[in-house]
Amino acid sequence: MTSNPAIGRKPCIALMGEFSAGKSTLANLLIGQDPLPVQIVATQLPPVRISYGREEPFCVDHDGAHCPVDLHDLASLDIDRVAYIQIYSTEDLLRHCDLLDMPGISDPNISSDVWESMIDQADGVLWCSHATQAWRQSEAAVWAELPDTLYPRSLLLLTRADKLRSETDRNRVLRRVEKETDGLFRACLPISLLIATQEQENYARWAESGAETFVRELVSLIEQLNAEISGSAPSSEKAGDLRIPGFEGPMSHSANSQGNRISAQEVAIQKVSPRRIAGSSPRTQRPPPTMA
Amino acid sequence: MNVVKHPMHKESEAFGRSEAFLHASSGLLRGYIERLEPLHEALRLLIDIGEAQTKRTAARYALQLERIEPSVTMIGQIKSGKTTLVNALIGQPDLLPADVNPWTSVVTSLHLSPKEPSPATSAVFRFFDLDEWDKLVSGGGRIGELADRAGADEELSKIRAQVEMMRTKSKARLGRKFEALLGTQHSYGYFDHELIERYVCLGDDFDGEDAKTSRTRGRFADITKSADLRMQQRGYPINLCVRDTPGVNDTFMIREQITIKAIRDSRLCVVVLSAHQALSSTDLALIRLISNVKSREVVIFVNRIDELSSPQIQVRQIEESILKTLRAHNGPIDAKIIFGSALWAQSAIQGSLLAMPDASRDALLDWAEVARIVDAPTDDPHQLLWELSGLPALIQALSERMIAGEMNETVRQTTISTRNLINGVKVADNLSARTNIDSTSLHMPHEQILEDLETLRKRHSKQLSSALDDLIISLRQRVEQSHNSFLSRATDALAKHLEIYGEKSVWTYDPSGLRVLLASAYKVFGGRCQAAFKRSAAEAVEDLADVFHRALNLPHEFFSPSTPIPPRIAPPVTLGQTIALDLHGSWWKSWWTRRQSYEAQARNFYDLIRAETGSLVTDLVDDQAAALKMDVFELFEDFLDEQTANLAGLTKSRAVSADDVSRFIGIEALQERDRALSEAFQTLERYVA
Ligand SMILES: Nc1nc2c(ncn2[C@@H]2O[C@H](COP(=O)(O)OP(=O)(O)OP(=O)(O)O)[C@@H](O)[C@H]2O)c(=O)[nH]1
Ligand SMILES: [Mg+2]
Repeated sequence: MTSNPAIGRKPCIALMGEFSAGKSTLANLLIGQDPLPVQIVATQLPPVRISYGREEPFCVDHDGAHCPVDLHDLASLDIDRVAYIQIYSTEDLLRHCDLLDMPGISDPNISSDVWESMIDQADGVLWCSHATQAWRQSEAAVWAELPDTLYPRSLLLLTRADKLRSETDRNRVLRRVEKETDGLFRACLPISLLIATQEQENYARWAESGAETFVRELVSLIEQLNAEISGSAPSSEKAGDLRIPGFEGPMSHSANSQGNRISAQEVAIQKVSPRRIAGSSPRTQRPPPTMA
Repeated sequence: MNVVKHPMHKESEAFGRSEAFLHASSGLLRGYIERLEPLHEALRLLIDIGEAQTKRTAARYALQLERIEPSVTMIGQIKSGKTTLVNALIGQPDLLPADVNPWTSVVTSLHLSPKEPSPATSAVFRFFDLDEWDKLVSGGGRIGELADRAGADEELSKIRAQVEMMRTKSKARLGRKFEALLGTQHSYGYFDHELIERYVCLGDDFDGEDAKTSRTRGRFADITKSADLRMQQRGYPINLCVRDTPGVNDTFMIREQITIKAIRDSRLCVVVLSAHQALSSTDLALIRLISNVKSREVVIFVNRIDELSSPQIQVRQIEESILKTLRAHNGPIDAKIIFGSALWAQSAIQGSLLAMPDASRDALLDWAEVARIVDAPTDDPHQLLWELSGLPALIQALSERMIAGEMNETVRQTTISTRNLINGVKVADNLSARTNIDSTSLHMPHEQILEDLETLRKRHSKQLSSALDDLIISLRQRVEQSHNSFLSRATDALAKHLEIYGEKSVWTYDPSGLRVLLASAYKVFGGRCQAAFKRSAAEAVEDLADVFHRALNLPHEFFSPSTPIPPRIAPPVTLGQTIALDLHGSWWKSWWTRRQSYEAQARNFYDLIRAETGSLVTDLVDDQAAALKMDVFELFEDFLDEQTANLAGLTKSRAVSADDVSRFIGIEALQERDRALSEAFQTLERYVA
């Protein structure tokens, strides 16, 4: 494992879903810069693991060997040879967890082996499903094959929820997906990543984007994963303090005179009760974390 | 529907907005139909000049042409917008129910026709029978397999479980009706959104205030196998069938199964994709499933481009990516790819440009800068919106394929048959032989000819006359038989009556049984007279042709006069006359009671009935039948006289000029008709080339 040994192993959260469902957009928002190419068509990259640090990026092949990589020339990468790319960033969120951006499923040009070999690294998953075509059989079938220990440690995000044009429509899609995925996710959250970044002037609109609820759920998930890894000892840095620049809200109506933005910190202070957690405790205990 | 004026399309001034849009977009089809005019003309000619058999055949071909109904099937993943697209294609934005949750559950065929359909607007919903339900399972998992979907190997058992669950559910909901409905159908003389909703969409599978479930919506959807809706759409110049299917890749995999079955019957398919996900493995599987079969065509419609942040840039990227994937996986790289938005098409038809969401409008403006517009509108922004929706391009692509496929095939087939029919008529006319005549001289003396003709005339007259006499005799026999059996039945009945009721009670007996027997005997007689006439006429023509041949040494078939139609058989009115037996009233009663003894009564009545009904019999044979015989005979004599006189006239002088012969055999009319036929034959060349 290649995280900073001083901090110990951090939970790894994988971003998964159909290709073009918004995974890379989400990753870029989460770490506040754009290291990953975002396109309307499938991005054919191997899994990318993002950890805290300032090291140079490298890629890891199927035998575990490292080799250098040029992030500006990803096109020349031989995706069959590379198991994953490791990159570093000093974004706050990465102090609390690693992110693993997986290639999308259902891409005819990418074999499922590519992410299947990486899924063991994940402690939790953010599954992105395009809200207007949410939770299709191709997604449900992949999810059914993943270890069910992931289920209470994962969030289902209905991305681009703004494309559902009315409140009723959004609710109906949410209700259907919730029913179909009952017991399969910690929570199911509609979110409009585009609106979350654009609506920096209007708090009400920003809140509607689902960003606020998402951050709250994410923080709570990270806290849980950290607690599980460290054997429930409180971690040195509480996840509740973290800043996620991409998800910072506009000036709130209750903002103080310094014009502070609403941060996830404030958000996380309120007691979070996840929408739905399958069972009160995880069904199976994950093996004790191994230190790098 | 709001009526708008479209100065560009004069003939469509009375059209509603949607009709005008469809009309403007279906020029290719209209052009094709116009080019078929010569074929129609040829058929009209055959109907006009042909014999009865030829007429019937030509009329059948004409109907065949009129009934051409090319079809197109929309398929794609759930919620790609198939139903919305179908609604736009048929010009009825709100007809089929579209929704944000998986919705369409039944293959729905819309049959459009430019004329008022006959039978009129209607809807037929067919239900599964038990067998078909099980068949839904068989062949399951095809898409899953082709798309390499996770868990594809277990899909079959999942589908089976879903079918079982659906069966249990609908049984519980429909109760006793369930069994009775299976294998049957519901038909309506109308349809609307609510009616369709009852049959083609399952509705939400969860409860709560937002849920779109109700007692009627989807009430029959799970047992409905197919829906066929017939309606008029004047915007298109031909009959069209547009088919909507349930989405594939739904977790409720039965939808997918239903759709796969529908693909089998569809030659032309539109695979509807969502712009936000270009060609996933499911889409690829679908496309390959369709295009693997020869002579199947696929058009790709990338829907929802209104949801792109910049269609200008992204459409190009999507297209490249689709092509790349098709190439990499041996897909049909020549498949037509069209970009558009069913939502824009819907807004265009509804005239609701201004009600569009901001993002959609921004995308529209962005797309407008680069989109290729065929028919730039002058004054109506909705027309531009229609252009940008991709629907005109889609209709054009579909038209091209329909014409090159189904339509050309039928036209080719009909043309070949029509040409054969033309050739048949020409061979029968044998014009080439007939036009080759020179002046010709008599090969036997005129007196001999006259004598031959006279013998011939007498012989045929006599022949028919005696044939008709025989017919009269057999009619008389038959009629008498009927009469006698009637009399004995009547007297039996009288005896029984007297036995049971005594002589005081009035007896009646209905003579209609006799009338029916007589009428049918007369009908048979009439038919035989007509047949005898035709037989004699044909024989006489043969003999006349023989004289003609011997006299002028010209081929027999040059002599082919048309024989007159035998006289119609008038209904035997004499049977209608009133006889004593018909009078149940006072006359009969008093007559009855005046008779005294049992003996006397029986004898008297036999005589009375015999006398009364006897008049029916004699009138029928002696008046009606004799008159018909005379008619037939006279018509035949006239015909013989006319033909013998013609021949006698032609052979008056020792040498007969070519002109005279030509005139005699009506060569001009024949030549005219041959010219018309040859011309028709020639013009049809283009449809078979
Ligand atoms: N923005 C946008 N929305 C669309 C477009 N086409 C359809 N929709 C919307 O997408 C949703 C689904 O459309 P449907 O037509 O029901 O989709 P479908 O493919 O028939 O769905 P199933 O029958 O359930 O497979 C509806 O809310 C439509 O209004 C489009 O071009 N753009
Ligand atoms: Mg539909």
